Amino acid sequence: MTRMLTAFFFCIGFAGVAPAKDASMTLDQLPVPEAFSPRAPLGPTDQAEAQEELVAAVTGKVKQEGYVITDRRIFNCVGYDPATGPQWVVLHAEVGNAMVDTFKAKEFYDHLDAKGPHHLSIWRTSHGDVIAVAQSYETADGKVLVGYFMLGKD
Amino acid sequence: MGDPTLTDADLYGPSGRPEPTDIHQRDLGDCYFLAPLGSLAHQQPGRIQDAITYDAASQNFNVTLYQHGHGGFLGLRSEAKPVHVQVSQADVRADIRLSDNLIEPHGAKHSPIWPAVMEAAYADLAKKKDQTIDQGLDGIGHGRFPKSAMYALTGETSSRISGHEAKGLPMDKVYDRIHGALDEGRPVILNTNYMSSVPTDGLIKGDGGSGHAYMVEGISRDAQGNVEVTVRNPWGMNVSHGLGIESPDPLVKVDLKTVLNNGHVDDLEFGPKPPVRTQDKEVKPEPGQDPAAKEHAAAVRTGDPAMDRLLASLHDPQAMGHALTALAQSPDGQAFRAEGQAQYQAMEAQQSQQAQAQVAQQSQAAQQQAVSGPVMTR
Repeated sequence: MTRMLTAFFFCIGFAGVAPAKDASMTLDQLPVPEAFSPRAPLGPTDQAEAQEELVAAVTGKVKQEGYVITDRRIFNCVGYDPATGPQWVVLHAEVGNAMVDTFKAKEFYDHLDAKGPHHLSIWRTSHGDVIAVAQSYETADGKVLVGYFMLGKD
Repeated sequence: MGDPTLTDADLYGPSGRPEPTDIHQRDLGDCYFLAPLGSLAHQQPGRIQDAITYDAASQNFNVTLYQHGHGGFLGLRSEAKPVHVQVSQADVRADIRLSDNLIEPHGAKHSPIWPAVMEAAYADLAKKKDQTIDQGLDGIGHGRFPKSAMYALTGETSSRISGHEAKGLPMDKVYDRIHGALDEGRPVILNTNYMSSVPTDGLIKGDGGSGHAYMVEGISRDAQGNVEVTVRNPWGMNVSHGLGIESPDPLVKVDLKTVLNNGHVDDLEFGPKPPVRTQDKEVKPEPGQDPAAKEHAAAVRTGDPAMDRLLASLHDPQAMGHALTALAQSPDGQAFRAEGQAQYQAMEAQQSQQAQAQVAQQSQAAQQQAVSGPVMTR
């Protein structure tokens, strides 16, 4: 009986631990602002060159912080008001507030760069996930890309 | 072919003066600077026009900003120190590229560049000596306090009324304070608290623990005593996720009592009155400039030889220099200096403690939605 009870509580113990893994987030849980059009990530062949440029720029920057990209979602950003165009401050407020309020994340890197990506912000969630959000400079055809990146230790 | 040279002809739009509609915060978290700047454009455009000059020979814009300095006898009085910042063509281009705060409607040549010139000057003033303008722009782009920006723009200290204090006052009194300030031509800023759960009252949510700064452009009161404040978002539009705020119009009218009761207002800041201007030049009366006063001062005898020598030298700058040196080296001068230094150190220690307390308050405000700011805005 004692053995059965021990085994029972042992299993419950594991069940109690398991959610820590489940509680980790995925990039699909991040908000998809109205500034994105379409409101779905770009496919690998959509604006492939611009995507590659953004990924290369982010890869270089996060490497300096000791991270590598393990997953990504890249969106075309037209801005909340098309007449105004993309605005990092507005996007940062929406995504940043979701990070802080929903995922209890803390931002530990937030810089702009003349060489690109234009902006890069990195948050660490309460569960230890490290998420980067980057905005590209305007491409030759007037497009701005925004990427969500899951980072892992280098 | 390089970019065309930007000149004073590019500074302003068709009105020929700065307009708050020229403000467009896109990529830097510096609402704390753009809100006072836009509010000055609304209330005292001449201040901005006076602050910027263009030098055709060097193709630089020269911008006058202010830092805290010391003046008066033995440098004991705190006073604004004008700082002349040279903003090169490259600096303005860097600002346009990194901050991207110009409105560039399709088909337009370009929008007025004065916000970019002022922002680049502020970044230059804020950066360390060995930093680039890019680093300076990055440095000012993550939130600060509007009061500091207002001081840098005007050399004068703002007064404030906290949201908590305003909430406890009769609405008529708050109306009178804001209406009176706007009537006097003062720039007025409304700063919000960051609230994780935001009431829907027309003001947007801040960003990650920081509040947001708005320009106050108008106030009205109806027969029932309801007070409505018109504020302009430096973003150039209004949108806030989950609050039903989605408008290309940067102006929004909010019910003052509601936003105060919600605890959404950190404070209202009132900038200085317009400077007294004669023939477009600011007149700052200085007591020593009056010849009659000089005559009177020279005739005064205090019984202190060093002081009498100083008073007698008022007509002669060189003699005054010698007299000041003698006075400073006299036993009384040395004692006065020591006392002054001690007072100054005590004052600096007090200011440092106050600054630390402000940071602690800000942190508390973010966590508990407290209303005792000032809160950092971005």
